[in-house]
Amino acid sequence: MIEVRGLRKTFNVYRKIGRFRRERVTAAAVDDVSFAVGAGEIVGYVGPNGAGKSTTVKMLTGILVPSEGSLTVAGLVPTQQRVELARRIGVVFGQRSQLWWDLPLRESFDLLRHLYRVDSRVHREQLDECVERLELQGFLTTPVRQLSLGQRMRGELAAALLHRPEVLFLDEPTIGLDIVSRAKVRDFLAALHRDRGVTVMLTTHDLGDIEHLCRRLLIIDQGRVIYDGALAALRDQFEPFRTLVVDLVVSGPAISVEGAEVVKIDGPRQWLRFHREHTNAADLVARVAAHVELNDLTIEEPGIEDVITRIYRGETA
Amino acid sequence: MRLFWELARREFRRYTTYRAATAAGLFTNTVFGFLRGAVMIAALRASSQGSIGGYNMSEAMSYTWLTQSMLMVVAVWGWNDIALRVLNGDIATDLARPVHFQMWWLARDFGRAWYQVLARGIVPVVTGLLVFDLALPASWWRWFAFALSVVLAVAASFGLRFVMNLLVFWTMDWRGLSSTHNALMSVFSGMVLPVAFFPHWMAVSFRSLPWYQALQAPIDVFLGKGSLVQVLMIQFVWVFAMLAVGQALLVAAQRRLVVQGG
Repeated sequence: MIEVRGLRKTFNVYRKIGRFRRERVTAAAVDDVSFAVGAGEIVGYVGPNGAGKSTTVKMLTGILVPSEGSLTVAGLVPTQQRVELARRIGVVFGQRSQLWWDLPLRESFDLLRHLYRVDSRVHREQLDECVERLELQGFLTTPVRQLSLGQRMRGELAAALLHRPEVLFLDEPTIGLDIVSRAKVRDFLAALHRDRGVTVMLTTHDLGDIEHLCRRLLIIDQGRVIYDGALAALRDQFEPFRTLVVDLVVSGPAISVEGAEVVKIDGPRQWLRFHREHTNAADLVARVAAHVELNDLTIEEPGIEDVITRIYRGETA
Repeated sequence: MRLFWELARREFRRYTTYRAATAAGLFTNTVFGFLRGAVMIAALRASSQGSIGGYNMSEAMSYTWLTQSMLMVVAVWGWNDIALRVLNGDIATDLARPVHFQMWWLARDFGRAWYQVLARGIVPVVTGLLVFDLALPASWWRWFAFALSVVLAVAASFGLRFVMNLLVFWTMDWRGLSSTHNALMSVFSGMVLPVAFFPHWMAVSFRSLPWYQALQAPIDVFLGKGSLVQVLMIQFVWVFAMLAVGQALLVAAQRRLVVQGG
């Protein structure tokens, strides 16, 4: 559904050198990015601020012209067939609004019917569904400028879906939302994906969004894709270590066993770090238990957040 | 076509939500009508022939009150709806729509203009009619030609404003563009003084420039100055020329587009 090969986007930045002279520096926001997204996939696209996420999304939607490389979305070349493509995709920019600020929410929805030339029966059905699932009923006639952020974002989502797009680009759709609104948006997206098989590309900083919605993850940093794969595999690839936490009956010195090392001691509790490929967890537990008497034990997997933090910081391979 | 209408209708409604601003603006326009009228009367009385640039007293009054009425209709002092969206990055959502960007805004501008005709156009001209002796078109077809010329003036003014707004892609600042626009408009559109008040060679050249098409052209049609067909023809040509320039600029802007704020 989405095909990207060798995509680059460079901007000219001017740097002051001396009183009047300026030097032109070319900066790459997106640098040789390639990936493919199949129909019905839901892909998380993450990376630190300034990594090139939004720039990529803007090229995919035909708003920005790529400097180099090729891309197709739904078989169309975005910048050449922008209008045609716009009919088949839905876009939500979390920090932008496509709704009419001064008019009731409903007016924006009605206009979209004419904009996308949707049959009025289809439009009605789709709108009813969105109103029900996103719980818009209470504020359909409220001017957009009076809506809360959570209400507005649900309105934006509905607006992006009324023409039944095949592909949905969501650029930080949960930014600034409270826990309840965020959960509503997530559940809605999950249902949409399940029932309709819409292809979704989701940009976010909220790892909860990713864990709830995305099986596949693309991580971009400094304009380059540094990871493309399953969320679960990310942990294995970037963080091969696990931690065995043991509560001893009697506090003692650091336990010395083969295949693990104590990284922290707090009274009777000790943390042992081990490599998941080199050391079998069951064997390790057996070895520790043979050494000392245990009250309790747990094995901790690194949080996805920790893993991604380390990737952003460049602490991993 | 349906979309064009729906857009214009919404823009009209959008403007109706700001009633206090409309009332305040209307009051100002009318007060300034009296002020400019008084200056015009003083100038004409002081001139030896009792007319300036071919304008007699009642024509000068018509000019004054028509410019006060049309000021908002053709948005003489500009408008920055697009420029603001470029500067804050909302332009991204506009470009993600399956619609011709310039037509989208042109449709909305006609909605805006029609609102201004009703809300800001009628009162000043009626005030002028009640208080002063205004020169009026003698025949129904001149009224018709005037209406047509106002429509063209809105489109020409839109073309100019569209170009000025898009230039913000390059300057990244609206204030400089805005003051440039206002300076050009005050001199060349006939807003501050009728174009005919300038020396003949200047007046002739002004009439072939785009700013004239946005304000003075319909007034010349109204007052029967110059060849009616010629005035309308030149307006027509400029509308298309300005829209073409705007479209070319849009294509260039999209090539170098930097969407503000990521």
